[in-house]
Amino acid sequence: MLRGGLVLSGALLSVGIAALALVAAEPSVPATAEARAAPPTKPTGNRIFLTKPQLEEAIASGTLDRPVRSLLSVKAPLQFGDYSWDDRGVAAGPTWIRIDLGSQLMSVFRGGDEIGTAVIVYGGDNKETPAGKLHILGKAQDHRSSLYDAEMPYTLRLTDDGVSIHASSVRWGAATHGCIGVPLPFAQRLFGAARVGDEVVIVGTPPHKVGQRPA
Amino acid sequence: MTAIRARSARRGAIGIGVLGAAAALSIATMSNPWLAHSLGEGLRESVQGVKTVAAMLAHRSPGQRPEGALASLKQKRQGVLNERLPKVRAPSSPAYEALAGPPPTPPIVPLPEAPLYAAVAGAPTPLTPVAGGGGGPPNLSNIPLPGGVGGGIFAPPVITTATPEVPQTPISAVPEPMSWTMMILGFALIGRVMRRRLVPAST
Repeated sequence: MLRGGLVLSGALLSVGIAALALVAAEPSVPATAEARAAPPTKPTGNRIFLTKPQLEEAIASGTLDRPVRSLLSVKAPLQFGDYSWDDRGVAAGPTWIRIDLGSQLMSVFRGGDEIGTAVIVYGGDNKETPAGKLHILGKAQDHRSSLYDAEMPYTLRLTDDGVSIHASSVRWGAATHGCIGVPLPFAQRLFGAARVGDEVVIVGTPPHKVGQRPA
Repeated sequence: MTAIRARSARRGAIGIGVLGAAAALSIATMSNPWLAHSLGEGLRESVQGVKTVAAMLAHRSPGQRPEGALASLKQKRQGVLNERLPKVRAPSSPAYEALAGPPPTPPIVPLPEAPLYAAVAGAPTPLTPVAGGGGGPPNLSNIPLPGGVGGGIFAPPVITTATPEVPQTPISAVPEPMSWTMMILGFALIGRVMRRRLVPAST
């Protein structure tokens, strides 16, 4: 009697889970052409979706200054010249850039989702990169520095005195004169994604230098 | 006896139920990717633990930049220009230095073909060679040059009107028979002397 009841309950459980799976799988198949063409609301790809406690802790600790929904899943530490870019399924939204000088990383966000990250090079000891909240003041795809007589492709100018984000040779131990150098393919993608006026948050320098351009 | 049977029957039923649930779960995950992804993420989080955002960002970082090991990516404009300029010898005179540029290319001077050909090929009019020139340019007064030539910083090509020298007899690379004879006699003499010296030592 007992045996029959357990077998019956197991069978019912199996049938229930299978039915649930079939019901849940139904909406994933678009019924019409419009539904098939509509972009998904949730970004795809290899991502890490932040939980509410994770986000609260990140904002409380100052790691993030605004809500973020997902980060790119980077399995191994990036090497100099490495980058990751994946904006599949990410809905349109304001683009903003987070630059961490301490960890030598840049993260590009579209709305609440990270769409790109790369290792950067930044200003040396005598030409420090300014920290704080900046905005993209201008874009120049084929910029050539008149001061240094050097090619600076895909330049996103941040300050009036020329501090910019641009393609550069990202290698260990390198420094710039205050600009932020990123790998060329990454700079190309960033140039296409960013617009004039987008926000750039630079962190990782002492607090007394935040928002100030070093002399 | 009946208690043992009931216990084994209960174990068997539980096993069948668990197997059925596992089979249903596998079918469900195969048919629904979202469910598989959610289960995978949940399993991964339970194994790895919850990371903070700072830890996740630090995990992908190549590390902090070392101090004192920095190399500049760019150089000042003057330095770059100095590197790009071709390396030339230091000018010998200040006047040349004041030019600040490459030397002007000399104008192309057309050669007076017909008169020169006539002079070299033995024209009826005899050409007088330069007397006591001592290395100076030959006298070209009797060679009619075309007008409008000049203005360049280089001198016109030096044209000699002297009779070309007759080439000397080439020296043969193979020695003459006399040289061969002298050489053979010399070796024979040396061999004779050495043999004479060796003979007393052997006795």
